[in-house]
Amino acid sequence: MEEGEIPKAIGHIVQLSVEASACSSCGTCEVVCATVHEGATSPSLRRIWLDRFPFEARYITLTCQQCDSPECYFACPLKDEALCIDIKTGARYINGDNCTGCRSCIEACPFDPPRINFDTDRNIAIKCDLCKDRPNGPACVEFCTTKCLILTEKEQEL
Amino acid sequence: MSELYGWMGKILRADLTNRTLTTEDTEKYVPKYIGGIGIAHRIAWDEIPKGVGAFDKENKLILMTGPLTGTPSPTSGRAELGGVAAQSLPEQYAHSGIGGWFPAELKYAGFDGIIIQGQASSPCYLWVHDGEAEIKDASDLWGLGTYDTQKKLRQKHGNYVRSICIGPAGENKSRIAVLLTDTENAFGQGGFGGIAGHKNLKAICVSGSKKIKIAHPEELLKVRSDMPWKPMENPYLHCDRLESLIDFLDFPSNSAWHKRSCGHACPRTCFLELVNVPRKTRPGIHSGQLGCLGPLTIEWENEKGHLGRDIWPLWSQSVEGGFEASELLNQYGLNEWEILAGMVPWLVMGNRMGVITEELFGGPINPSTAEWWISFLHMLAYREGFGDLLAEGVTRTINKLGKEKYGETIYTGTRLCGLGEDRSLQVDTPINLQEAWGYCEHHSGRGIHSFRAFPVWLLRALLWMTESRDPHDNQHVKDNPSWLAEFEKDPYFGEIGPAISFWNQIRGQLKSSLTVCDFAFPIPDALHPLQSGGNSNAEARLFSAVTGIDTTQEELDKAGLRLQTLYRAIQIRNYDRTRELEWNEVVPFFRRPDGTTGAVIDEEKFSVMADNFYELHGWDKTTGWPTRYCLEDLDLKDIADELEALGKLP
Repeated sequence: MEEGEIPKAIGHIVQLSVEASACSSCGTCEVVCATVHEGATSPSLRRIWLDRFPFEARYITLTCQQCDSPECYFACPLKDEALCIDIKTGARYINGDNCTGCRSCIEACPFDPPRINFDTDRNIAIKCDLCKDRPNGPACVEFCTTKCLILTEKEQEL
Repeated sequence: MSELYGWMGKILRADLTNRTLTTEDTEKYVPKYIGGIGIAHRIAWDEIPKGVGAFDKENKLILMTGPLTGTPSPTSGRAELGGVAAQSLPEQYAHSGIGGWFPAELKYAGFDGIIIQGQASSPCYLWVHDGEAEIKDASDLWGLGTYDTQKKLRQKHGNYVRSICIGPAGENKSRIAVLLTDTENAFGQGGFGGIAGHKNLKAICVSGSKKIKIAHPEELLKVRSDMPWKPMENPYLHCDRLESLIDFLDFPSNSAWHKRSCGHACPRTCFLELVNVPRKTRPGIHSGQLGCLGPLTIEWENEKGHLGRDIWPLWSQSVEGGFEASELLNQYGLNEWEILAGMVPWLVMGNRMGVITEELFGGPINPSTAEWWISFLHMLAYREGFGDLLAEGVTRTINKLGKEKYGETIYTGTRLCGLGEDRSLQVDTPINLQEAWGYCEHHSGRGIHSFRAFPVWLLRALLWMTESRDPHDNQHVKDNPSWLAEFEKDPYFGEIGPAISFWNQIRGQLKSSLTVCDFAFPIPDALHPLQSGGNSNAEARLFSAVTGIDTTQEELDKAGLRLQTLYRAIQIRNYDRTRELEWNEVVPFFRRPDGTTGAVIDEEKFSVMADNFYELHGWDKTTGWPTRYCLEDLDLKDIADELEALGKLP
């Protein structure tokens, strides 16, 4: 898929600012994400993660921003086979069957920390796919305890 | 090994004396003992013989998670700790639970639990990561508070590590010292922090990326969706006692507060987190959580739905002062419940009655000032002056000073009790609020829970009798209005009262073995506590979905009874527990008038209630001991054989 042909994603997962809502720090987003995708939980299996700073009362949720210009996609040597674009949702996602674990996508991610996780057991990269095949949409949004996670086209509000 | 779902499959054993680390298969214990406290009970039966004291090298800290821990099972981010408890009087095997994010991370680090034994020759901490473990030098951590220890461990090993640790109170072998994680979660009751200090164990730090496999992921998420705690549209709409505290008090203008979950995967947000609150006496600001009793550092209350300054006015101070005291309680690693519900009320009431003098205490007793708390907590944590005795806990302190004068003196100061509009009742209360086994009152209609009216405290009396500690680690009694209406018709002789306590007790064992939270489970949806209905079978659905072992609630409840009976067997073999012993330990507290109508226990009738309670377990009414039939029916024949050899089968 050439750059001009890449559809925008329907949105990306955003944590609302603390003025509008509040992350309860429960981490449900992490475990339901891994459960939906992998049938297991682990820090190495989640596509969304929660940075907890309990002594500062700060809890920050990070995940893929589904960039309009997806550097991860461009960097993938197996574009459209390993790192793919979903036609229906525009989600930038990884087909684990074809990923070789080269980590090019992780290195290309413009965010710090990169929003792509790596499963060392299977030697593949994993990332948020907006739960593109799930009827109820992103599981992290559905199960968020305080509804501080939303799917939106807006910039992250943190 | 067959493929395990839920369990990680390995238990770490750390021998601090020999500095050796070994692993054992979890399958040795599961599914029979489920996990958590169930595995701890079995290990305690096998490895802690009669005669082992809390501060003996032979005592063990048995820290266990369960098959649900670290999964999306609601409230499952918990662990249990078993061992001979320093706070219990007499010292005996007991347990304590913890939330936070440590338990799930321990499983991600590759282990279902850790058995800590022996005693290190110098301060150490345990570093457990991705299936490996090391006993590391803790000389640069020794002396630090719990918050500072955790921060330092993050500096050493990364922001994602989770740790439990002791503060100065634990290092000084206080019987009311805790093991704490994050800002407010602790293995609180039991004095296990003091035992860790005796073992020279400063902390356990864990991190990892191992996988917890779930047998039926979609079913698990469906069960979670079926639970009554729905995601909120806005957390501020939720209102409870902690929020009313914020509304009631002058909250610092540049500070903030939020609702937080106290544990992994919890949808309930019970805890209150205060942000950037200025300290009253020392420089700087502090952020952290306030749990169940934390707000009592601000003022002592009677929990009638309002704050207590006009109800049982023992102290009252600003948010800044109270929160600073809460911070120090946690930094020093002290037991909030013992101090806030038992010790400081005893000091204040005793002082007002002229029993606990300034000479004895070593200064004025005035918890309405932040300066007093700072000084008091310091002397308690470091065992300075009178703090050396107080560090033994209130019960031992009173026993040492003399129970008649220092325990039984009646407090005649103002306290409005009663129910509804009539709050004028002045019920006599001894200054000593300690209930039994070395622990202070908890949900028993007196002290801080004076608002619990007769007859509900009878349900708690049964649970206190058959415990080795305050039973509210996992037995906050759950009921529903129809059960209570039936119970109130005939509290002593009706069959539903013992059934409510029995149901809560065996489900308590399940909660602490699966693991889930005591404030969320069990769900009393059924028409009767011993029947199924609604979400009352949630534990079995969660267990089946995670482990793939298709289990009915009836089968799981039988496993809960197995764990309770094994716990009972430890009490009988190691501590000569009998019905008479526990009756004499617990019933005297209920002879004092309750806080609502002045009701006292009718011992003759309560004896019938206790008969029925024992019979529900399959225990002999006279001795309180499990019968051989009961033990064998629960697949505990080896326990029956050993008890019989000791002459302790009825």
